[in-house]
Amino acid sequence: MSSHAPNVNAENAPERDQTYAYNYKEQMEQDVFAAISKPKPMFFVALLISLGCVGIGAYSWTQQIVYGLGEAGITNPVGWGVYITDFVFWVGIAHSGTLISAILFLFRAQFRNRFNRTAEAMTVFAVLTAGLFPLIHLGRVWFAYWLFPYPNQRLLWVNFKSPLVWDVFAVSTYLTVSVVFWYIGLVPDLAIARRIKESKLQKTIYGIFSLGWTGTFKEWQHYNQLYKFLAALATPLVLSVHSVVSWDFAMGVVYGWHTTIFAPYFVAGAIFSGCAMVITLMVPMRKIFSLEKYITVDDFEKLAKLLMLTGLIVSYAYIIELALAMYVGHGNIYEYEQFMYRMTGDYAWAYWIMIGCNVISPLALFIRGLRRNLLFLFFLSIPINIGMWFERFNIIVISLAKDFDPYSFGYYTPSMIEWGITIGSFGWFFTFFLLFTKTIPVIPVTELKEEVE
Amino acid sequence: MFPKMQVLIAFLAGAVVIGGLELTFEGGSLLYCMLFFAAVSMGPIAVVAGADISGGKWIKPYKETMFSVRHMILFVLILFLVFIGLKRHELIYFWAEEGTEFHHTWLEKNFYILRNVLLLAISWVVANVYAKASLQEKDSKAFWAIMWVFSFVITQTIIAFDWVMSLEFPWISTLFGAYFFVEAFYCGLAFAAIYTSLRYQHLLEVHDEKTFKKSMMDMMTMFFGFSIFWAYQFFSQYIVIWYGNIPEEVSYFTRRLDEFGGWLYIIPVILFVTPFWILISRKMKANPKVIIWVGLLVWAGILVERFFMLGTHHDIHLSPIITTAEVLVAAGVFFWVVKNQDDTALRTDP
Repeated sequence: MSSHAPNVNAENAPERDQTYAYNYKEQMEQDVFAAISKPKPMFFVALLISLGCVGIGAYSWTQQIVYGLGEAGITNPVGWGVYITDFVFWVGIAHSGTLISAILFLFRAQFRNRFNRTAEAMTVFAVLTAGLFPLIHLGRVWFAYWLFPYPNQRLLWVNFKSPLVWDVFAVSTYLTVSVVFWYIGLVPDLAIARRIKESKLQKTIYGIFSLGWTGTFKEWQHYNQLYKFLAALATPLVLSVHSVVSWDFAMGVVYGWHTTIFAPYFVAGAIFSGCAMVITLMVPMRKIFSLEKYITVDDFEKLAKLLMLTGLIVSYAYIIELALAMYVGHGNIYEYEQFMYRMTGDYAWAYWIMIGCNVISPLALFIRGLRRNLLFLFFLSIPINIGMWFERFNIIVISLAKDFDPYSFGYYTPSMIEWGITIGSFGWFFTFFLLFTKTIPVIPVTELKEEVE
Repeated sequence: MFPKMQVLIAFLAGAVVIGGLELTFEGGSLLYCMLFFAAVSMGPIAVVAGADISGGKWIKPYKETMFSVRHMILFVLILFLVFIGLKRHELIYFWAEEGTEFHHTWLEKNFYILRNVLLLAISWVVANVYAKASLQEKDSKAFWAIMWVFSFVITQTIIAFDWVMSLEFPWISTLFGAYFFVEAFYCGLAFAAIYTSLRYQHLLEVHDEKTFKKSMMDMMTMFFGFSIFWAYQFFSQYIVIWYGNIPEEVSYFTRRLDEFGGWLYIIPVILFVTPFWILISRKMKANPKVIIWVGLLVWAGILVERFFMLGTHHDIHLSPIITTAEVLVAAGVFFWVVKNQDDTALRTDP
């Protein structure tokens, strides 16, 4: 039995164990809700830093709006640069939330209960962050409504044959289902918050959002059915959303983009980066909120195994892409040259950062001691996130920089405006996340209580 | 670890009969036969490895039988040696023809033989070591399960690239390797379904009824899940090639469409639509009389699909009679080995 739940069946002492289980549940409730009590000064420092980053991003975007898209480094032939890299990166981060919640729920993997709340919150905030980038990339953001299919005088419609439009549908469906799934899972915990909180205002707010939940048998019955249904609905979305993102590239006849492995490879990569981000967020949070008793090293080890598995799938895809480019050789000179350029050309540094971070560093997870070392996991998750950002950069930028014809070869250098907006996106994400940690229980109390029962 | 003498004799007899049949007709029947049995012999072990790695207890009632197919890898290796011995590779692969001017580092005759023999031999050895560790519930079983997964993925990928994709050089599809090992895994689950139905009463007697029915439901849920995953892989490969519409790439599909027309659409119907609609029902998943047909249908679907893969190539001729006879002989060997495999000694051997 894992160390986070009391052994209620041991030693034929049901009464004593029932009391223990009751006390354990009470203690857990107190510990988890203590985390959303009055913020400490360090919280405000962190929030201030995040808001500072948002400020940098807002300033950069304003500059771009005022002076035009020329402020960004993107130009011919590299028309997609850091903004699209950021978009794919954040959609990828958003991915593992639903994976941890929905798929692991259907597989009855109990360790999900420690991470699902945070992972789902991360999903929602990451999609909100990702959603900004198509708007930023537009340049003239005030014409964003042109993206929507609506009847207009000139009978102009969006191109439904374009994978970019499929992407709009995929990401918005994913966001909708993720928000609903997250919110439904929150309802019983919000009801506990309504009970615990002393301030009238807080009681009212939590009361409204807990939808009058009283925890009757009938309510639980409906709740469980709905949750299971939503998990089943969300599961295909895990596959679909990042597959569609991958097709933004794979459908185009650009070497380095047009490859059949992209859909599963993007899905695995997204889960890989999402798991790394969950570790980045959860390791410090566990320490700061003193949740060591509920989120154990065993749970992190399972997450590390998932990270290792997805890392190996991503490595397999890298190897296959490269190996087949070498295999086809002069039978398809463009494919071959593209991969040679990645490894040895102007952006070779970016390629080798990706390999170091995504292929080499996760191999350390084969060592059990390292899988169980939380400090190591935390410091490993950061290069993985960096590596995954560079993976998208390599795919997007390098393929465009070296197209078919030497006439259209080019070199792209991101501008300070683009970096500013990237920093801003991290600030935006962490601001949401910090606010989340002070308003909603960071681990699902009711689900952990169920385990004890 | 080594198969019993009677199994070895069955393998040799099977190989002689198949080799004899192959001699009567110069074509790709043997390659076709190897292609199917490479998937069927490795997939079931991959299913066990997946369960062992993830700590799935539902695999317990199935373990022994799933492992009983492992010696079939040796049979595939023997068939491969027959294939080489009869110089079928020189007949089928343009790059292996005698006196060809085509030079390629990877597509080189001797290297091709060496790597395929080595990979099949290593897979067979790893499968045996893993079977022993897993059946004896040793601490090392997770390690050997991982080793098996590595071996399985690499071997199936190389089979996809060497045996099929190299026929169409310089056509490439990066998903082809993954497509093959996912399909082999799907074959493994189909084998579990067939076995469950054939031995249903026996399994109920040997295992606790409630536990077994739960294991069966979990296994069939996974089977259902893989029908969707197979469709996802199929679609991911198809849509990119179809949408890209690059003549030298899309010809992989157009040539087959020209040759077989609408019959090609039977593949997603057999391998996805039918299993999906049948297995979506809990009642059907628990019905041994139904799942045997789903398992057999999936195997048939994979046979049909691999026929479409090879059948359009101008260097490959598949005689209906010879091909069917070879597959039936190999299937006979397969079922005989599974039925007569006794791993009692392996299970208890310290």
